Amino acid sequence: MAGITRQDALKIATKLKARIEPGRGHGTRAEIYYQGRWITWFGISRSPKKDKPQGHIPRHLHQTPHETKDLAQCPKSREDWIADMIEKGIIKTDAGG
Amino acid sequence: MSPKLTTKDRKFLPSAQASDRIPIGPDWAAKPGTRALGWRADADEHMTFCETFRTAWSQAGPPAPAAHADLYAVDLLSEDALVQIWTQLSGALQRTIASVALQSKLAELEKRVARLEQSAGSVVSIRTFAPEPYVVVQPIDALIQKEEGQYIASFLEADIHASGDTEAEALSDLKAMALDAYDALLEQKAEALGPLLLRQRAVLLASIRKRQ
Repeated sequence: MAGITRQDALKIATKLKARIEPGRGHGTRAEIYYQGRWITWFGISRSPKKDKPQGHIPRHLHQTPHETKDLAQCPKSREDWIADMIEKGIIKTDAGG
Repeated sequence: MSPKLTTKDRKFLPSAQASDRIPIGPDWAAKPGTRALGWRADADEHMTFCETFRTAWSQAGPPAPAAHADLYAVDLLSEDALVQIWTQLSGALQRTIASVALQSKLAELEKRVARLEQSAGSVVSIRTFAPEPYVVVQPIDALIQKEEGQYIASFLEADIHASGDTEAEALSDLKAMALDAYDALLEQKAEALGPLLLRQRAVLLASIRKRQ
């Protein structure tokens, strides 16, 4: 399986409804919100190469590289990812405290 | 070294038929010429020899032409000559087996070393953010690992990661991301952050301070 590219990172940011903020030298920061709280973020390296590897993103999203690729390439939705994060205890719902 | 025919062996040669002189095979006991030549090995011993010969042949290839000819005339040889052949073949077989086992072991070790090199990584201590106006309160350990042809630098305590084509690029991006996260998280109220980012902010506040 090919790694996560910059293009994948941008697709994931869109799918997770991330807010894109400018960063320092590294490029941009995709901030992900859930129920009004900022829950996590990941950096997208600035590069003229669309296929530049972004191997750090799976760690920020607490997913395997394969699951992260699924987020970029359709099978996995934002809701699937949120459910996964709640299960892992990384996101807490308002109902769950 | 090829075994030599003894005088005792040679005197039987004229009467031996070509087919009788090939003892390789399960029908050895049925060949009348072989017993007539005085070869007194029993069938089991003969079969063991044949098996060794076949294995050595398959592992190391056919013997040199001269040795080949002598081996085909094996039923015409003296017991001493046969023992000599047996010893040579056994030695060759043992060396072949040892060599194959070593090669296999070496290949396995090479794979393990490659896996270890890939997963273990190295730790680099971040002690400065110069020229950025930030101070490192306590040295930050960054783990750098090679993964699928790229380098991933991680500030594990804060759960911040960056990647690059080189170690230096990954480390430089990690420092920039840590400072960005520090600035962005400091602006937020605690209730606006999820548990992961609350912890990240606490770690960053303990590790970094902005110069006044």
